[in-house]
Amino acid sequence: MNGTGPEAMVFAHGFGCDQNMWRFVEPEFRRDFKTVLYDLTGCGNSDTSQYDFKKYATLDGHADDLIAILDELNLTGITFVGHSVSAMTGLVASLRQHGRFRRMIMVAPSPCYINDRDYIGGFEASQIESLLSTLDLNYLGWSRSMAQKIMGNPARPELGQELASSFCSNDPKIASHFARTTFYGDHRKDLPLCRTPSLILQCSLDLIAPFDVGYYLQKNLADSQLVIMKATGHCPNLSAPQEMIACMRAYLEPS
Amino acid sequence: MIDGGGQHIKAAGTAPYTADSWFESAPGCGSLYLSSDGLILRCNAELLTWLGYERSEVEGQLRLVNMLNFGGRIFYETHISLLLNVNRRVNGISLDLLSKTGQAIPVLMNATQEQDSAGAPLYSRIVFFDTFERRSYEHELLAARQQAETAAEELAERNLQLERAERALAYRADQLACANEDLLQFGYAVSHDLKTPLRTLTAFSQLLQLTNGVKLDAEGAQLLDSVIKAATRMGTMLDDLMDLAKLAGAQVQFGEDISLDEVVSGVLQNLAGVIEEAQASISVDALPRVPGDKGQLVRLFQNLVGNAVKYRRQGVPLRINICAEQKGAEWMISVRDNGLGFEPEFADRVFAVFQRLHGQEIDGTGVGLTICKRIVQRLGGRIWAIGRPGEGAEFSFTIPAEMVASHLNVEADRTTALIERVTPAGKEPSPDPPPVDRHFYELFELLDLAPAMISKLDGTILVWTQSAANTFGWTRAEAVGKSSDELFKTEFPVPLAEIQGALLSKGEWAGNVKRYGRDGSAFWLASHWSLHRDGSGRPHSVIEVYSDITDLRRAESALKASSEQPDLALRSGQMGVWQWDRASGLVEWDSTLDEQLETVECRWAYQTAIQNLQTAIDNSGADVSCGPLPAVEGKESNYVQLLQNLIFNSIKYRSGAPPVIAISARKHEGQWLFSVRDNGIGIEPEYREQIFGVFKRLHGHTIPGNGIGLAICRKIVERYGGRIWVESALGQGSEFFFTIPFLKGAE
Repeated sequence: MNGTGPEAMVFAHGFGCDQNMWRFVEPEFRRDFKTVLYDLTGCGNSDTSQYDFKKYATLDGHADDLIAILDELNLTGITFVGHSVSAMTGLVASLRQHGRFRRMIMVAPSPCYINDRDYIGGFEASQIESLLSTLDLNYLGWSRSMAQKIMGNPARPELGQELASSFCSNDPKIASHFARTTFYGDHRKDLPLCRTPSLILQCSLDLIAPFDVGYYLQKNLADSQLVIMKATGHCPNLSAPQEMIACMRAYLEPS
Repeated sequence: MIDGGGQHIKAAGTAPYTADSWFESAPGCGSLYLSSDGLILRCNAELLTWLGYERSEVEGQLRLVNMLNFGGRIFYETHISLLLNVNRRVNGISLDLLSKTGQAIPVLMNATQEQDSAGAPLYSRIVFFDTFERRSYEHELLAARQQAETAAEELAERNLQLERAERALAYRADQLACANEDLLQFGYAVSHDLKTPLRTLTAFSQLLQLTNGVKLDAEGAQLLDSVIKAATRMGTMLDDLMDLAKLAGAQVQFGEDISLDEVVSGVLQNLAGVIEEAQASISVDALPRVPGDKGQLVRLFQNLVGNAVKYRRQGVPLRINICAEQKGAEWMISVRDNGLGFEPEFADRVFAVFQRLHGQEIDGTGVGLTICKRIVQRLGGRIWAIGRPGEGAEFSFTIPAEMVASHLNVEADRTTALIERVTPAGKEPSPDPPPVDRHFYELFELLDLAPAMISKLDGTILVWTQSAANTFGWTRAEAVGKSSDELFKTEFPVPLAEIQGALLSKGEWAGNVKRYGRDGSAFWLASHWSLHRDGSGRPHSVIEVYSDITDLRRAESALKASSEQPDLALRSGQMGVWQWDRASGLVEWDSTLDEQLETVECRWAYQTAIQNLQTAIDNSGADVSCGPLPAVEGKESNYVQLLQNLIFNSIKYRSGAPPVIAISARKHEGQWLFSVRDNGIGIEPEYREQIFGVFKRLHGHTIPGNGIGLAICRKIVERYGGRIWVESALGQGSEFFFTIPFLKGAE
């Protein structure tokens, strides 16, 4: 937890990463907000032994955790910033405790990744299996090459050993399970129930959340704004932090 | 900004040779530059070859994700790009690249990212390594791991059996080789020893014929004649046997290439008498010069021509033709006749020792062609025969057209000479210019991504990458300028001279090598070497790119254990081991004679035995303990085997509980009394003597074994003047005792 502002801004990272993905964005908001960063259970520096495969088989488990954090810190009226799958986690939590969420900023979100009749999610079910096998293939890579070799970080010594060794070096079994939870999830039915205002940040050329998904979200989420960013890929918070910060400020401080 | 890196790269002028050629033609490395938004700015020829694209289709056109399969794309977006961004570097990512036609190419990827001062990405350098073999390894490995998880117990059991079979097999190979040599030694010794009495026999028979022949009647004279003939024949056989045995031990002496024309004309002169007698007409085509041993080649042709003369058809003028034909890297040489020939099914038998197809009507010992086969094999060739009964025979053999490098010291000298010729002494190649400009910096950064090193031909390291530093532990400052020999010990699969030869002739070499890093740890590397020539074409340096396969090597044994061997194969494997063990056990006994005795520290022998049995101990959960053990006289290998057999026996005949095995030694009645005690199934009193006999097994085939382990123990103990016995009660374990005399002078 950082910052001095009166309201809280809670950042939740997405699949494949940890809270370090917010490192360019979060400091910008410390002046106006009390910022809160956390690692999803099973990711980053969280206690992986606490990863309950049953609990986290759906986003409800992660939503429980989010609410527990808000309870613990006694936060309410928050601005929730969720990347990728965590945008939906925030949405699920907001359905349960509507009053605690003032607004949500969804970065590259998707309510459902798999194509379904007219709905374009961008994925076929078989393609998810291809991803899972790539994760499996990197099992060896993760355990040795990644975890060990990532430790040497001559280019950026200032990042520190701890960060370098933990960043993205998630347990492969958990990564694979989280991938299933993420990519097989379908939250389209939850969208009309949501009463929290939201900003949808849609990237260009995002393989994981294509344009159609962004439009679908805007159509089905009441009180939502869609912003198409110039940033390409799935992680504008890393690849184009300045543009993202500008988009967020524009939404937070309407002139 | 986005294109900044790319322009730099494209705009650069004349490239410094090492790094630039590195980018374009590093062995087995595909490299590319990626803009901050994933567009491919530049890629090297190797990568284009892999993917089947034209350069114009890729550079500035495609994104990296276009070249990945779906899983890879998502993985890139969710993991790799983030890692690159935060750490500026990723290593060892396993991906499938997709070729233009959609074919998957398994690669490992290393990458670094350039960022501006604010940490925003500028561009990335990526190097891919073709890892088809490693990937298939990994696939198998993953399969093995999954199997291991599902069938752990079965696996452990199979593992034990297979490892035993493997060890046994390796041991059998050794033993067979030894036995073979022993047999030939034996043959030599026997032949030699038999010759003296035989000479006496022949001489006295001849003397008898000379002095008293007239006194014998016709029948007696004929009998004596038969005795003399048989004795003479036996003498010839013994000579041949001795020749064959001598051939086994002799090293082939390669010198100058031998002219086969000269060899054959010499042979025909030697055989002039018999050739004339047979009225044979012999035609010889042009024959090549080949590497080899002149004496042996003479012998070879002499036997083949002699064979043709011997097995001619009566009443048919004998014709023999000798010809040669080049087939690839070999010469095929044939000796054809129109003699008796033989049935096709005997084609292999003619080369076996003492095998004769034509009975006693024709002189011969049945060794000549065996000698031919040996000679040809030793020269690196093959020999075979084609026969048609009543029409003739054709004996053909191959011989390498050039020296096979693995044989040769000569080759090493030649290579050294060649290297010396291309880099004249005292005229060192000029040192590399320092990487000053941007272009240089780029290419060195790219090179740095590869697990690679560049060295001069004499082994002095010129370039040492970050990856090499990560692998082996020496920093760049420590490694550059050192000779790779002084830096690390390397075990090559073939003589270094052969590698150097391949580099000079083909420009590259690939193979698995074993290296020891800074902290002494061993690495298995799939290594790819390529020779770099300078502008004037002179060999300048060697680029070595490797892939660390140590983990894979280690996992291999587990893999072997879990490979889906049907039970049948396992069982037949066991049978094989069982049968073989009998034979090798016996060989073991005889080969323990005449050894130099030394002082043996029994605790070392014990530790070796434990190491050898590690798998069996782990799998059975055995608790093996050992008290203080003395030093004794003998051969360490004997004591290792003694303890190993006893401990293994205890593990094998365990009861339901995990084996608890205790080894101790104490002084008793002027000797050392050793004890190996277990909690196994025990032995009934009436069998306590029997178990030390050969092939005595109490437990039938329910427990694998060959019935020789304890017999060997007894042999060893008795050899050192000791005694071995067992005390046991059924169901309460056994205690094996053996005595060994004190070390001389110690007491």
